[in-house]
Amino acid sequence: MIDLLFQIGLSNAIIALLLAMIALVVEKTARWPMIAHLLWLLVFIKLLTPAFMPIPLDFLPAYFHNPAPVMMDAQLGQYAISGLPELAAQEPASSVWASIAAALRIALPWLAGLWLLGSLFVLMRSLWHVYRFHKALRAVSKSAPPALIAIAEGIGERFGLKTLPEIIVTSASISPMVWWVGRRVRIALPAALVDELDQEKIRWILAHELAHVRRLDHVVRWVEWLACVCFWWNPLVWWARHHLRANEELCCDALVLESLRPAPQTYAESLLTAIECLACPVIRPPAVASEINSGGILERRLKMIVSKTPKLKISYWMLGIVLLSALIILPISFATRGDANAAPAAVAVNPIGDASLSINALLDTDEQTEEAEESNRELIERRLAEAVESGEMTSEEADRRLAFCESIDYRISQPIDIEAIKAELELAVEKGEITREAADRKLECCIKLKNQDCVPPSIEEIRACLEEAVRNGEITREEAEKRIQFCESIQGQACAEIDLEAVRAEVQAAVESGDLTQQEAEQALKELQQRIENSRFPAADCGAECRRSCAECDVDCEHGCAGS
Amino acid sequence: MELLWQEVSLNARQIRERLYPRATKAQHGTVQRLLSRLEEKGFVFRDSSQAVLSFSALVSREEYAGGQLEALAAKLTGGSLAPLITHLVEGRRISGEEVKRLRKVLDEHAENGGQS
Repeated sequence: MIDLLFQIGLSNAIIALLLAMIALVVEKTARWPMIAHLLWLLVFIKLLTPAFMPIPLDFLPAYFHNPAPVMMDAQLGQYAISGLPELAAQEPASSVWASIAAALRIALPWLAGLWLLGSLFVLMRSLWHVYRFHKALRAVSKSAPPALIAIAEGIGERFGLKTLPEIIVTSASISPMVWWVGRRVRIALPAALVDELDQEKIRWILAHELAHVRRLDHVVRWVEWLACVCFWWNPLVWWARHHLRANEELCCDALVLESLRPAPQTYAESLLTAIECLACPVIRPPAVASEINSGGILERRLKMIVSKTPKLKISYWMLGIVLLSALIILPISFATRGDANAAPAAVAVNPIGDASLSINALLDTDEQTEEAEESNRELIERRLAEAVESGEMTSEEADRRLAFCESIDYRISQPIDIEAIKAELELAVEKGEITREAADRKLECCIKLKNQDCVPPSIEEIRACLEEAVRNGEITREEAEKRIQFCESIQGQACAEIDLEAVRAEVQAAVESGDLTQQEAEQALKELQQRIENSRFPAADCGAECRRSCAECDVDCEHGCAGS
Repeated sequence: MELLWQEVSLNARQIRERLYPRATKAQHGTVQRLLSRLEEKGFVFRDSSQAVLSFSALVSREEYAGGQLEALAAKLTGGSLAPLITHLVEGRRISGEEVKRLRKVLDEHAENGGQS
């Protein structure tokens, strides 16, 4: 879950950054503030939209999500031979990536917690400020004089506003502003401005504010707010915010000029007079120091207003392109190769596990053997079906894996066919899947195994082998631990006391009650013994353990314990 | 501040009595600190012409509230998050030089416009 959130957040942030770059380029051309504004808005929307179309990318190694299972040494016999094709395909990645990924995996829950806490803090703090401001505004302001409201109504009609915002005048010396908290949008004007400016100039100030309302900029503020709360750690949001607002202002000015057609000089003059009025020093204790200029945006705006270049001739096809790209870009995210392979990798490892399940079943009563095998196959089939359904792999992939698992199962029950193995190895060498030396080693080992000549590695040896693999960065420590545990469990099972006597007795009872014929019974017993022998995991060192149990149960050591 | 708006001027003891009816020494110090803070901010005027120091409000209730609003507005437009749209003065007071520069921009274009 955390992995998924991080992935969405991260890939959203990356795509948003790319969008921001494009927006910046468009902004610099200074020709189409509306497109620039739209692109900056898209940046915020992209940050917030959940992505549901993953694009698999290979640049993040699969280690990020699933440590690649390593090819175990040839000593493990058959399984290495058959090649577990998927495992062979994944080269062991460099240890640097592995260690970074490992560190990140540990840190992930902490980072997630930090992210969440940060968001909560930003949320609370901003809401607190909003609440206080809202209260304070209502305390010191009153409704605007009717003349002003009439002007506003006129402009609102020209803009096509359905509901006119509430126009209020406040004694505080604030910039004219649009404020939307609660039901109604409010436009607040400082009393100083209303008193000093003539009606003509006030009209254009109002027009600008109403243009903001017309363009739904007050809604955009909340989108921006949400993105900042969610991605407070990303400097992109704070940077994009600045640009979004700058372009917003340009667009509003353009809208006023186009819709109401004031003389550009008049409109610019209104803005400047308002600025001059607001810049007057006041007797009240200053809230903030006033060194810095309030932004080159004012200069840009005035220049844009009075310039002779035609503006806002937005071609609709350009708008259409941007919106279309938005539709395409918004749902996508990046997925790592690991995700696409996560399920299959898990399933690929499972054949061993499932094979051991088969063996377990064999060690139970033989009557249930068939059913147990069936249920194993069913289990694998079910898992694969789930994976196909959730889109983690294609159905061809699933079929391939099922066939592979069945072949594993088959191999367990068959005696070792050296010729066949040799042929397989040759093929693999030709294809370049393994080296000649590795192939020779494997063949040697199989021959030994068949002849019961080689001593299967002990747990200590396996542990050493795994240690080295971890040191070389071929597998993670976790994976090594898993394998050790697995081998130990196998050892336990392999040397589980096979009460052949009990099985014989049961079979005899079945014969007596007529469920089996004598022939069938003997056949079944022989098959069971054969299977047990052939399925002996070379990973288990029956050695001393088996000898002991052989002595305890008064059964001949026909279990095929090598190394006795 | 409320007290001072209600009465024209009060001395420290009266203020303390009204703020903390069960006066103790600790509260006396608190009141003193409060008064000096308000004085620093310019809300309160300390009259030392009499034998007993008295305090009176320097700003009206509305002015005070307005100051609070401005402070909040400055905070909100200065980069803090809020659904606020301001377009002329972004929360910080614009400097005199900036205004002059803007005036120049307009005047230049006015001249050019007049000529062409």
